[in-house]
Amino acid sequence: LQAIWRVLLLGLITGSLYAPVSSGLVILYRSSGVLNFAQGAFAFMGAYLFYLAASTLGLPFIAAGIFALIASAACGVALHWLLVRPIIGQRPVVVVMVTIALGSVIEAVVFLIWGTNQRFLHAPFGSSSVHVPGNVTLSELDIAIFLTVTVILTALVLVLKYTRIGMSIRAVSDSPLLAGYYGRNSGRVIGLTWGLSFALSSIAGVAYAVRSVLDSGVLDLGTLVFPAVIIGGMDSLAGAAIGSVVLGVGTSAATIYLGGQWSDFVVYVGLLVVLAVRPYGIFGTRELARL
Amino acid sequence: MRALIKGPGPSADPAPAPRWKLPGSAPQRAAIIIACAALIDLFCAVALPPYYVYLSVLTAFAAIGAVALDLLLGYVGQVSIGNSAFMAIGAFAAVGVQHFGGFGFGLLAGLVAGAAAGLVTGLISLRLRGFYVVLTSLALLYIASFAFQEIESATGAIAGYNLPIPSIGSFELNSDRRWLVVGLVLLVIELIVIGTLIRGRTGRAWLAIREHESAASVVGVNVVRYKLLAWVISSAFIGLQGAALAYYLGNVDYASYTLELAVSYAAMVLIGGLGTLYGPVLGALIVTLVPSLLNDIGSGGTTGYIGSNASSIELLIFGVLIIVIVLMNPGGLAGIARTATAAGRRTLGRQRSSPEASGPEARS
Repeated sequence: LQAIWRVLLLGLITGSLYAPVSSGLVILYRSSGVLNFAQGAFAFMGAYLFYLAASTLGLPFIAAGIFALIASAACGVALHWLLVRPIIGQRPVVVVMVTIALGSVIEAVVFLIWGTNQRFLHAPFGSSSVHVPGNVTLSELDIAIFLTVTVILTALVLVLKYTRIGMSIRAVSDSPLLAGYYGRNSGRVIGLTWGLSFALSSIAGVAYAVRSVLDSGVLDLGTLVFPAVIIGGMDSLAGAAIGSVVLGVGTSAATIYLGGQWSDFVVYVGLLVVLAVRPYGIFGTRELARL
Repeated sequence: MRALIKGPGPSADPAPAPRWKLPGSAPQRAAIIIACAALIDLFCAVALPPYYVYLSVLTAFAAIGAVALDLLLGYVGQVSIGNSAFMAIGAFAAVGVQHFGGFGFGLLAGLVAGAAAGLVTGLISLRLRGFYVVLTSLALLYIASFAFQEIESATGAIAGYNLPIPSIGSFELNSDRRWLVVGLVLLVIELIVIGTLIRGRTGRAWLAIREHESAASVVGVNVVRYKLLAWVISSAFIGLQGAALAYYLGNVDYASYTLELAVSYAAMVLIGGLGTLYGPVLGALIVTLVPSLLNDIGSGGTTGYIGSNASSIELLIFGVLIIVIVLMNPGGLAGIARTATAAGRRTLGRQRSSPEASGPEARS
């Protein structure tokens, strides 16, 4: 039982690394119908923006975080204007390939600017460990990451639900046309969601990099979270969060009980099973086809 | 496969008239084909530097995979980025049967294994649409990669499996020139098979499914059968390509069948032109040639900025190329070629050109 508790806690921590990325994916899928294969590259870029602020500009940790958030949101909005608008509503092949290409461009640009060496990001609070009930020790950093992500995602849900801008985002996601009739500028709102999504991914990228190391491993976050999004359903924010935790628990359980190389396998078999049983995910809405 | 094609209903598919036909009787045609092969061989020996023969072989094999992938992406609208998994399945099938038969048997094993894997993937993705199919193929890719990794470590093959140099009859396939002939023959067979299917009833069913699945089923297209057929044929050829490529390279290792490889094939299709037969061939040419041309440029200064960042620059150019081509012209190079010929036709013979002149296959 204690082992299960440990797996759950570890899964919760890992899941909190996945959750921002997967909710970023869901936001984009809902607002613009794009399944973004560049989400991992967004996290990658965001982590390097943080590195730029923290190491090159010498800003303190929190300020560097805010800088990274603002800069990456700006990147997201800019990408939307440059690239994304032409591909919205195109065939899935085109969308998939353009976002993959976008991901490789971002990766290449980061490597050309900063080189391919590993970088280290340091958090100011210690890496001292904390004892959690149930005889499990976690590092302070992990708990900080979990709390930050929880607070940010809760704030996101509240903003989407109760503020005017959140309502615009939901309206445009449901129907750009109707939202347009009611005076919403759907292009601008979708651009906003790209900024939001980029910023969310950067949080995950920074958290990942602070926790281990800043290198091309961050890029894998983008493909790692696809099972989470499928499990939760591609158009549900709550589903994305729950899916991320399920994914985190699944990978930690597989790593502990079967060995590290099994974690991908378990996750993707899980994805196929979910797709076979419930093609629209557990919390997703069924897509209707119209003749 | 026969049963899949036939089925109930008016299955008397009128054999589509081939556009051109080799003259003469069967033995004469065989002689012509052998003569063509010999000519290619001679041309390579005389006119092409060895490095370009090597690139041509790679292009021919890549084109086989790209044309097969285009069947799914372009004609049926099923987005798969798992085709390196099918290549791996074909290659491992060839390795598995290498003690039971020669090169031809290996190719056959690759074909059958690919078809079986395609059937399974097709069955899983029957209920799915659009992006969900992409993720299914992605899952398949990771699962296959994991399975082959486990097989390799279980059998103690650390750097993968080696395949012997194959031979056809008394011809040992020990030079790139001979491989080029093999690759081109396989490519031509594939183009004939897929081209015939596409021009017939099957192709029209596929297009109907691509444009609107529910509408297609309403007008009487058996969506399940034709979707599965497309998966089976496409994956069979990709498996065949995997087996042939494995024999050419002489080594099979799970680590070489990556997502990047699969993406590069999708890029070939997209750059060349979705839903055309010759587009993917063009795309294969470009995707194979561009990196080596970059190498040639970069080799001038291996110590400079370009030399030390060669892989990043290659990645950048690859990404920009896809984005530019897709955003400028979603039809890819084939689309550009079609626009150009249409424009040429307009300026040359205004009185002759009727709206139908562009032919039934001209779609945007």
